[in-house]
Amino acid sequence: MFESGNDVAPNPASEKPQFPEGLRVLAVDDNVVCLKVIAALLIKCRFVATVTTKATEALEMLRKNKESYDIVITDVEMPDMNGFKLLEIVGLEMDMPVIMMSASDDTKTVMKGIKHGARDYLTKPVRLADVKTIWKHVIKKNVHDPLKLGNIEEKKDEHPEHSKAKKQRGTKGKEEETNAQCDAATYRNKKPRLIWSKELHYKFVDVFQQIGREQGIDKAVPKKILERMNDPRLTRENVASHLQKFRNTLKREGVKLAKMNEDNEKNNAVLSKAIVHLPNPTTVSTGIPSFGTQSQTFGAFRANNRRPLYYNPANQHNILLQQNVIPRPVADQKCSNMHIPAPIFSQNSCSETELDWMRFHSNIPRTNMVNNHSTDSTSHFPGFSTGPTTMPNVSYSCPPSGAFNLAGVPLHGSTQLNHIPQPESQVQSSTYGQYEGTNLVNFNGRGETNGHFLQHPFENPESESSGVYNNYNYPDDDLSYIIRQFSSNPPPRL
Amino acid sequence: MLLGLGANQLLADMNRLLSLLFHQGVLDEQFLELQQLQDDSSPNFVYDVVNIYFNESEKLLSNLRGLLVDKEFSDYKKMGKHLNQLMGSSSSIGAKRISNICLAFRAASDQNNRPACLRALEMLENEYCYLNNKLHEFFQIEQQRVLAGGVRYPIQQQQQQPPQQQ
Repeated sequence: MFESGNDVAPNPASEKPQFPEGLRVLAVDDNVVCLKVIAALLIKCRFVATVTTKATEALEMLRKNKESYDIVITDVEMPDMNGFKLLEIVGLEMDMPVIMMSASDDTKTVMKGIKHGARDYLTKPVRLADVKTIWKHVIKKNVHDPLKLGNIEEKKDEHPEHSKAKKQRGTKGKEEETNAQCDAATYRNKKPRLIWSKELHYKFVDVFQQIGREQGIDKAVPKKILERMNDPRLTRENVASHLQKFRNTLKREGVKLAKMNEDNEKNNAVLSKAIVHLPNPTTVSTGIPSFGTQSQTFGAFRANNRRPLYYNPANQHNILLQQNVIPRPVADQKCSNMHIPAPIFSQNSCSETELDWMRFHSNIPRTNMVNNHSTDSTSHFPGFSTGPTTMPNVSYSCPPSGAFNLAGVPLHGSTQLNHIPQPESQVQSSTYGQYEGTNLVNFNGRGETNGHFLQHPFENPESESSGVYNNYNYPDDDLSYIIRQFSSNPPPRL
Repeated sequence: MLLGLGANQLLADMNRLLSLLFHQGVLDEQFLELQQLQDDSSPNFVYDVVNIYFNESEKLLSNLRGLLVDKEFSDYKKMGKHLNQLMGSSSSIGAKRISNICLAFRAASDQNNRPACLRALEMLENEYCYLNNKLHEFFQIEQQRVLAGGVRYPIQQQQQQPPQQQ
């Protein structure tokens, strides 16, 4: 009788845990009640939970042995260390997914957490349903980091011949290998697809241009590139297909490879008639979504790249405009003109500042109350809101829209221009060799900003920042997307 | 047989008490979630958590009172932190009414509205006492039920009957 309907879990020791069981979670909360509940939740999900009430202690544990945790869950408000600080250290330095939680569902706090790189933000009470799926953040992270995924796979893999097979696959690049092993772990058995991360692509472009300068573009064959890149992840096939796509994209966008050759003076005389000198250096940054570093990189770029931009009024269809995926809050005032549809939270129009708090009895919905006084808490996060609206530049789930051409763009003509004349001195002065070929203005901006930008060459010749746009990389492995960015924007040196 | 009946009676009492608390808005479904987490590996989980909760919130409440009683009081920020703590733990055990009052309290504290804060604190203390009494009653009945029937939880029947039963 007692056995019936018994739902007791099988002994975990007796069988090999299947993912996500055994996920190693570090939970940090100074609130013992919450911590106890979270620990119970994690155990219920059969994760391996390590809990601590002190953020500093958690940090120490992580510094000592970061490999023994997969993900961190942390409270926001803690006496010894702010959760955001912890998030910054753990999320950025250690590159570990962090989930934040807090009792307050205050929009600004949530936004701050997400903007600081939290993978998720849970409001207390944390429920089983929330905790059950936290493993997705570990996977999500590793999907974008093939090396890491490989590591985790190998670590979790207990069949030696299996991992050997994987290594073979890794080197030979065979797509399909029969996986007779446990079907529950099929996701692990798949060969991790090579993802051309930003860094990898930078490297690729570097090598490509290096070879192009030394031996000519035609000599940049996959084998040579592979040798020079010297990356264990890569195979010749990877490079070959990437190269092909890269060349195609370059061609499509009208960036002439020959520009990288410096002996293009002979064309100058002919072409300079058709070329209008942009009054201002137009710079386009390639944004890396990291905090704080962006502006420095960007500044360096601008300083070094005060090179006039040439364009051909005859050809008007070559600007690629891409939508921002994760717009960076920019310091540039120009950009504050953007009317990005802030999807959420800008409507704290409640004029009632003096709260009749006695109205709050147990049945008032929580959100209502928060909305009512959220205007008061603006000052709590000084670095957070940049404008009158709560979040002028943020949209979270904006899908990467394809590039589109905008008519009436009087910029660089691609088809006629084989060689873009570069004033010799300016070429020399640029420390960024790659910039020489970047005449195509390709920036990521919201659609709304484009008109604004395009006026500049003619109507606002004095404007310094006409071309400065927040430009964000979307962590997408869509190759052409990356290439499109780099065809005009050489990889920044970080 | 008789023991079983007694246990059933006690279980009904528990459920009645719970539904009263739910109806009053004192507790919410998070408390049920807490009960779900209790199993063989942690048979007293709910009781333990609630106990810690009462200890912690008692401290927090006396801290809050200490802050507000002080005539020169101005540290609303510190008060906000205490309130956040209280709110976090209250919501974690499903003490809905307390967390709602905490919200109102925090609103008052954000506006540096001291009289409102004092009223909120009084309400909190009342709620705290009420919840404390009711949950103690609840756990007492549960304890009796364990002694009487050996079935600790309606959801999770136990694999082995506890020794008390014999």
